[in-house]
Amino acid sequence: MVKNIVSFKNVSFTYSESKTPAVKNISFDVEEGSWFTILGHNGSGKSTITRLINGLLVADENSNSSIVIDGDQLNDKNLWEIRSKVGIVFQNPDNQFVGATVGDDVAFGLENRGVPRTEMLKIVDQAIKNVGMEEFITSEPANLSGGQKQRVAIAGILAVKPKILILDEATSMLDPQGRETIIKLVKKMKRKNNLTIISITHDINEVMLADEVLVLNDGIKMLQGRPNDIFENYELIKKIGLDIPFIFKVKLELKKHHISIPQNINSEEKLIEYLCQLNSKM
Amino acid sequence: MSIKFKNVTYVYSPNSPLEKIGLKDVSFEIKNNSFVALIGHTGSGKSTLIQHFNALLKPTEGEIEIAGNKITPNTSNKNLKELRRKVSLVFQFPETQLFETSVLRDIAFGPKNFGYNEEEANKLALKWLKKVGLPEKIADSSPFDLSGGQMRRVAIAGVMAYQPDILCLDEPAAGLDPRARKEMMNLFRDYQRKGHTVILVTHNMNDVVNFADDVLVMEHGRLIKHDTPENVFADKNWVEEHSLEEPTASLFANKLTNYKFDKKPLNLTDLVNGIVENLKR
Repeated sequence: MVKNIVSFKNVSFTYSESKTPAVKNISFDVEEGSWFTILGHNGSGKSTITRLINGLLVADENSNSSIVIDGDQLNDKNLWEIRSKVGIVFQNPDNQFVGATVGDDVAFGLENRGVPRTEMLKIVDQAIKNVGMEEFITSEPANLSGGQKQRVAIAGILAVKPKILILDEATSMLDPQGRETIIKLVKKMKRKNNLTIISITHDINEVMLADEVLVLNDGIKMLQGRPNDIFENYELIKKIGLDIPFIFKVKLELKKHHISIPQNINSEEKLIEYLCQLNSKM
Repeated sequence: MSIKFKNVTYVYSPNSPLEKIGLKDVSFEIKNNSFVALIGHTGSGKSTLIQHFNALLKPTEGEIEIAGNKITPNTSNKNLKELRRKVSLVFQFPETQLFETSVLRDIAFGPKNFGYNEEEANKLALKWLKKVGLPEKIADSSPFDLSGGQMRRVAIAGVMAYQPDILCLDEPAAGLDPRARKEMMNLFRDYQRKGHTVILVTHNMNDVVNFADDVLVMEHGRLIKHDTPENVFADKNWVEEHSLEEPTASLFANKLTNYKFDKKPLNLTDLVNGIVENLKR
């Protein structure tokens, strides 16, 4: 049976300086080992949810609300245990480098957990190798590109063996090559360690990698489902200021020219095939 | 008052072990009032190039004519203020350069610096605060209380407020959500249409074809192409050879193997019109 690693029930959260909740009565489940994407425009509550997952923020009190992570309901007592299961890579590569060198940076989390030095050095070496940064182990952060810094951030997180890796717009400040290397790396690490990925992104191509997408608008859950099904609601998606994948734009434009593409044609491959067939028939 | 580069070479840390070529023999001319896209890989020399536009870097060899100024290796650092008022650079992630106590003061800093009095500067600041799509009520807030996207707009408003003739932006929309991105790009297009020159450094080829009328392609410090977007993307093999990406519509069109497009589709409209044409035949 599939196990849910994250389970939100009727969760709301209100920032102390605000009157309206940033997240309103949200419920959703994330399956263990899946790729789960939260999509929404800036200020829609996406980041708030990630911070609720690892207890950086505490949900509004409500007796029928709960956050369950890996089988345990999040509370004051197990907060630290749960945090060790959840790693977050943030957006800005420059804001999350704490060590003076790549090696030091990756060691930081392990040092915090009091891992013995000999063991730590082994884990650090391996983690850096896993992200392909072994050449740079003694490099200073200033000499790294944005993509390389994000790889170091991922190494530091994976070194402490979390079960959930949250990518909070982790690729949005990178150039296309940097983005590609990070996505490849995350895919590989996910497979290798049976990680659950929770990604927050505006990048439509990244959304398509997900098994399940949660769409938020102003703190409210609008839609949840597989990416292709989600984007069938393109009118709604566009209305809340989000982009739709290119193939859905093509379908929409063709419709204006009275060329209707069936609903089940919902991937690039299928659309190409359909259009090529259409052209040979005529 | 076009921009002219004549055989510009720039060497970082010359005659030292760290010597590195930034630009190699770059020559081009950009017409006034164009929307120029500057593309190329990270490390291809794009940033080095734009820093020459207002003499933050001066050529090691060669000569630049820009906004009525001539920049040579011997140009002195004195008297560059007028040039910098006319030619402004917005670096990547400009929100990291905010510093004032209020949004309005931050935007007004640029105009004040370039000789507007307090009242004029504040008036301009308020005008541009609204123009970049920010609500007036945040004028007195600390810029550090805003979201990342809002901070970006404040930073850009601060440069646009003194209305430089040439506005040069390094990936201004990176990291913004799609709606904010679109608004920002439209803002720059309007600015260009009102008679200014906009130079955009970007990795987004769709922005190149949707906004630019002139494209500069850099590789290893050299200018390897200067042409219209149509011509730059016309030769698929050339684009691949230089590891550039094609616009999404072109990539899609390439896969429609039994379709014939008279002109390579660069954007959604061209692509869909092309498909419809083919189906009618």
